[in-house]
Amino acid sequence: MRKNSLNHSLLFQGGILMLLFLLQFILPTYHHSSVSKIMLLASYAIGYNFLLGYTGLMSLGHAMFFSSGMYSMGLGIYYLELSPLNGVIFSASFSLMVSLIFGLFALRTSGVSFLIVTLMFGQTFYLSILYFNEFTFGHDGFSLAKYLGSFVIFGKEYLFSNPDIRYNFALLLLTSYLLITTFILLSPVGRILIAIRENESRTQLLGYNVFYYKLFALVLSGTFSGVAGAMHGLLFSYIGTTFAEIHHSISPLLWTLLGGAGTVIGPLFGTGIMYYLIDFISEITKNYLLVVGIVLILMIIWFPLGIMGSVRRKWLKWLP
Amino acid sequence: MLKINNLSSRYAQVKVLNKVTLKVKEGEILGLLGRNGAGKSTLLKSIMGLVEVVSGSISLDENILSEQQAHNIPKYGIGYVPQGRRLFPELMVEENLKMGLLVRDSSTDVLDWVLSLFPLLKSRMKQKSGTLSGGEQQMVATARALCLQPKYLLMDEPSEGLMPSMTETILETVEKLKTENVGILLVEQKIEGTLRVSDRIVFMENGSISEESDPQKLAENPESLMKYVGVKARY
Repeated sequence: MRKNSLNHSLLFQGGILMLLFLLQFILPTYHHSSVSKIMLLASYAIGYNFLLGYTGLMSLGHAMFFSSGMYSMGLGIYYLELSPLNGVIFSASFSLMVSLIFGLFALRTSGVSFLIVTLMFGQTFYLSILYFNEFTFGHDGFSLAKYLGSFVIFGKEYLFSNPDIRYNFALLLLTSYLLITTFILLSPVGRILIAIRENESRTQLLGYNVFYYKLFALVLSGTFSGVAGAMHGLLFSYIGTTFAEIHHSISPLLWTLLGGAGTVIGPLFGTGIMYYLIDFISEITKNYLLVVGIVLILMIIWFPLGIMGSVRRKWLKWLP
Repeated sequence: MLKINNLSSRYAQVKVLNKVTLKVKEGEILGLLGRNGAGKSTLLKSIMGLVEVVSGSISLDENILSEQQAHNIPKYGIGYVPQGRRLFPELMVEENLKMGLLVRDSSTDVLDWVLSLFPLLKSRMKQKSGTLSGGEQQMVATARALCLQPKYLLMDEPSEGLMPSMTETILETVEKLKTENVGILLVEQKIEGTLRVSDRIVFMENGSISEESDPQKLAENPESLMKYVGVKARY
């Protein structure tokens, strides 16, 4: 493991996480809720980036993982009367299984074929949720609020919908994802994943079974996305098909590309900027997507490697 | 011994190698010459499991390599330096070399040995390999393959695009490896250098072995060189 890089990364990420922790005490209610949401979505994007940024596999089906985590947690609590904690563990296991099965099929392909296969799997999952609407509540989705109950920390009772709980749980998830990703990427496994991204056949010719490494990256990416979906469902108490739609697969791709694919912290910046950009412009015009598109094109021209990718190239060379 | 027996292989439906039979002993340098498209690189790729073998076999000692998947072949002791180097440009030189070490859990002694062959790389260890010159990249590609501690090294045009002094360095390294008992299958376009370092020369034409010759005899009687590669060598 590259110790200097690890120390610098932990300091840099620690600083950002500390800033996020402190922000909760000064942010007005609206932005407090927005930042909670950004941290959850950024966790999803970190999962997405693990596949795209470190093995070069671009997916258009990640909403399947996000919603598989969200639905397995929600339906587990609703039908099996699981506790919220067990619901999240159940969702992690379920999304791990989904991504493993998906990977065994999809990783037989690569490039554009992989992109199309992911899209097809994602749409199949989405349509399955609608088809089994008696079980999943279809388009309407369902609220978890009355099934979640409360929990006690230091003798004080809290609800999951409490803004402070939402904020700190989202921060906890983001922190754990950043740490796990950083440690993996700076370990030999991370180097092998980067080698696969740079030159897959060469990595194979050095004696590495690239299929297993790609499967590992996909399963980790899918499980991260699934747990992020479960936490989103838990903290916002709503499970719905919106999160399984195609645009929810495209969003993490854009967040990752904007923030910097292949940088651990990039997806957080990409998600935050995109979230506030849409939030701000949609206040001004109904055609906000057009303006957002133009702004994104300009940013990609200025930062072709994404924001943190460009920062790494110019200044912070140790950034993982 | 590396044995290639009656090997035929193909890209999709196109048959590229036709009943190739070769033997390379440990510590032997076999120069493989032929015009473009003769099947030299395809032969190396077939040994590495990258091209579909239609019939025949490739074996190393008692192990049948042609029945193995590509990622298993380096573990039997075959290193491959591909045409065009193919480094991992975003990884540092040190990381490129460690990619080779990790596969066979080789110790740092191996790295020291490899660096003794390429002392220039010691000062480049923390540099991203994509920023190196062509010659330095070739050194890294060769060094990385040697980190696998191969019994045999397959080198596909290692001097391609290099200036004469760098080509000389690469050929000197090939000669040093011979003294370390590493068998080398060398595909080259630089005829003089190949004749100088090789123990045997094999000519390929249209996917088959056409002729086997002694480098000394070829230098004295270059008819085969004219016939198969279209040049006379100054030796």
